[in-house]
Amino acid sequence: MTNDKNFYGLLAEFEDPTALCKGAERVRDAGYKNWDCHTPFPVHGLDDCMGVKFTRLPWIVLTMGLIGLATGVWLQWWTNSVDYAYDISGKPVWSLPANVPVIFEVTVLFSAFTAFFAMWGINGLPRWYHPLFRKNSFAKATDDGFFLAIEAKDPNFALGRTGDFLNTIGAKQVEEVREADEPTGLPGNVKAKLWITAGVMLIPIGMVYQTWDSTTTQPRVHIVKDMDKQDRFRAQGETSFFEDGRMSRSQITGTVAEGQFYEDESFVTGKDGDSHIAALPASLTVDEEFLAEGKKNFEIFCGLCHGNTGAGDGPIHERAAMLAAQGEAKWVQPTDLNGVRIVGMEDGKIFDTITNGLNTMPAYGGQIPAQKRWAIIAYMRALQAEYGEEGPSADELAAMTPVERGELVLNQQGCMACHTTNGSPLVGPTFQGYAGSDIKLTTGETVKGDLAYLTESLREPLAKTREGAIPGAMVPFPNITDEQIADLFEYLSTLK
Amino acid sequence: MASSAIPASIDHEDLFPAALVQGDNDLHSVTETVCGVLEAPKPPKAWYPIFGIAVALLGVLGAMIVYLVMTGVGVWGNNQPVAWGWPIVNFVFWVGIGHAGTLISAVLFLFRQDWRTGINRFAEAMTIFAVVCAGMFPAIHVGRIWVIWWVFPVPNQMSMWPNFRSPLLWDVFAVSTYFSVSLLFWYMGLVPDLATVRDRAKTKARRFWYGLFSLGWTGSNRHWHRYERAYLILAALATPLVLSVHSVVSFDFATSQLPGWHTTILPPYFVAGAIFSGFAMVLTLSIPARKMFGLEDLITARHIDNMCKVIMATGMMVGYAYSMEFFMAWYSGNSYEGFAFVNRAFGPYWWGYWIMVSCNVLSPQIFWFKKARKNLLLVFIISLFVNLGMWFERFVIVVTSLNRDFLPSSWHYFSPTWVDVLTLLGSFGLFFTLFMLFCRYLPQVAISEVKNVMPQAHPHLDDH
Repeated sequence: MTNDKNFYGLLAEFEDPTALCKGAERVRDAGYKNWDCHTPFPVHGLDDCMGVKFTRLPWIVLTMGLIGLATGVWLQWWTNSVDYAYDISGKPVWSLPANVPVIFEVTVLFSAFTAFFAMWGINGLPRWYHPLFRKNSFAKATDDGFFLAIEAKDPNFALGRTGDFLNTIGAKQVEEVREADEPTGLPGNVKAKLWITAGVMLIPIGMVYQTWDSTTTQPRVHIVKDMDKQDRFRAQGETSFFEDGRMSRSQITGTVAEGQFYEDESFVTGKDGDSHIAALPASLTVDEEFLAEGKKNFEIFCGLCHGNTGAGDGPIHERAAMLAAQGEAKWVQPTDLNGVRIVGMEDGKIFDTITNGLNTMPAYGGQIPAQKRWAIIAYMRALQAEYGEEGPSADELAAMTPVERGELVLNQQGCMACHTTNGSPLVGPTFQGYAGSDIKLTTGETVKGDLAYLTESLREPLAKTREGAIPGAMVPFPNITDEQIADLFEYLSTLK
Repeated sequence: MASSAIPASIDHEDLFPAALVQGDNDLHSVTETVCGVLEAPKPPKAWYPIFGIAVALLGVLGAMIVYLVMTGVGVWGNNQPVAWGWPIVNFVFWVGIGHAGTLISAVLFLFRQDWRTGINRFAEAMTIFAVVCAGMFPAIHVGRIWVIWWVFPVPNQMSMWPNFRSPLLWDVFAVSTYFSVSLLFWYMGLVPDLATVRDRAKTKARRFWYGLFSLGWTGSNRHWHRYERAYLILAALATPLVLSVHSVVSFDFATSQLPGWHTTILPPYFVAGAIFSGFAMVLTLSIPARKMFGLEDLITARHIDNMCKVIMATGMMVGYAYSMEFFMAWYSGNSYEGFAFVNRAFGPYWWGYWIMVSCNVLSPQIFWFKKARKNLLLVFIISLFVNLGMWFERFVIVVTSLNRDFLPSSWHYFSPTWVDVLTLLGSFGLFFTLFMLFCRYLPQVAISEVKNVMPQAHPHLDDH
């Protein structure tokens, strides 16, 4: 023992492995405990000369290997026959022979990791600083030098005596080794940086865990979107492949697709040839049960927009009109089904509209079977009997002025759903000042707002589209007569 | 050891057959030779073009993988009925090469074949890089690579577990275990040598990096004691492991009920082929490398001679397997099995079969002659033939068995696409990039192990 706290011990260099082994035997016999030899390769026989006790490493590896074996068995048994047992060709869910390869691999994995990490652990490595590294001569320990070091903390150690002893047992050279005066660990700031780095590295792991452990209403993040976006022809898509630029193809003339043949054609189209049928098909009997079915379906499909009485005031309208009033949406009020126009409409036309949709109204043909669509119409007629408007009679009309008749046409045909008479445009332009005005078309031409243009707009709205209008937003009104259009124009001419 | 009194006409090796290290070497000169390579300010001139080409091919590989992942597995030639095309051929090819390293380190270590010390570091590095290349192929072959973690038993929100009764899952465990254990084995062997480099380091960067990875190794004998024990245990574990890995790979085929695959000879046949191809790759790499880096004294003619003998032996084993497959196909009386093998040799891929037989069975026969084993250029060329032949072996097994389905209407002649070809070339880029970096920055020969088998290393304690 020595009083110098920083004194580590003595380092002796020997000529060759033989000298080192002989020296080590003497040190062992002298009863030293805290000492070691340092060589560039494992010198065989030195363990005996030093009296190194056989390592307990194999037992640790054996233990961990058995734990690995048990883990391999348990992992496969629990996952494949308890937690998620699935039948493969009727084989038993737990069949050991098929599990042998994985059991073997897990056993080897556990054993090998243990052999590796336990070896370094028992050796006290990694330890990047050692007092012996302070001696330049010690660099030879990994090249061709053979060293023996006795630590000062050994109870037998005495500076002079131990030094002399080393010289007598064949040491080529003996050096004193001192610990560094300054602290040998990592500098404080490096340590702090390492801790901060380690902490920062936990953040992504934490984020992944947080995502994994929580629920969200957002769709999953897909990095590769090949399942979300696929190259294919969509019903309304555009393509350069076909001449007309449309992805969907129309049916080939003269063919009948599956499910397209009906004994009574008008039952599913509402048409007899090109004209709509006036009343319900003769095969249907309107009774209480039929009306009840109509009511149920009307309230499911129609009432939300048109209102349960058909007045065009359903909850969707209420909400949308409110948003429209705040300027957050554009909204056209749903048609009042009890209005004169609908009251006078053929059943077949209403059926056609329900089936194929019109303007913003979607098609319901795919959702409501034909029988129920007719039931809805029967129920609508019942509602109209309660709430419906009656138009003036032919005599009364004849007695009215053209301007009065024109205003009636305006209201009956539902023009005011898109247009106004007060100068503020809605979906379509206002009628105020329409007559005689200059109307700019999308083609760049200018036309006069006269009877001819009004007639054309009602008959073929796509022929000349006003600049700024959405093409097709204006629908054709084929049932309106030339007299009615003349009256309408008279009325519009009064709106200055 | 070598003495100037010996006439030049006498072969040094014949005179001292036991000498594992040739030339006038002592302990220090071994350190100098090996460390000199990585301490030289610049690598040998030939290093640059090889590394450059390898990195360029690595870039090609990256581009191919990105293209594959963004587009889908359809960019390859795989299609029904040849759903396993080149990716699996390449996987088996690379994982086979990856067998020599651990075999040399572990099996030869257990058999006390001291000559292994000159080439084991080399072979282990090659193993790890080959397994990296191998592991890549099944991973990218799954198509949706971002859910590759489904192959591991990770608890997940779907409450699903992998099917442990599938040979493909055994493969996942076998190859990942093999990679992990090989890496540990390789790194453990490197630690004392990294300490040697650390102790010779002249620059701060070297001192830091080699110091960091040498874990503070002091060459303590108490440490050496446990180190050697751990090394022995690892070798004992790696030996059955190395045999299991290619057996498990062969189960991917052998457990399928497909004529040409469904045979019990496949596991030993695959293992022999793996050793065969692995040794060929060690020769392909070490013959130019020992010349380029001046390691002729450590990787000696004797090493090459021994490796040639191993190649000849394993080459005859695969030759035996090839003929036994035909015998069994005939002897079984199973007409489907018979058709599969006749089709293999004389069907649409007859050329693949005969390339395989010429390269693997015939070409190594020249090593019966000592002169051939001493002719480095010839050995190098034969090693290339073996590599080629072993790639074709996997091609023949995978493609010829699959392309003739049970239904003749689905028979299909498989052709690779340009993506297949460039991905294979790219995998060589990955392999050689890693290998050239290894040659430049790590000790290519296990310094402490070589010293250990030199005569100077043994203490003479007989007088006790």
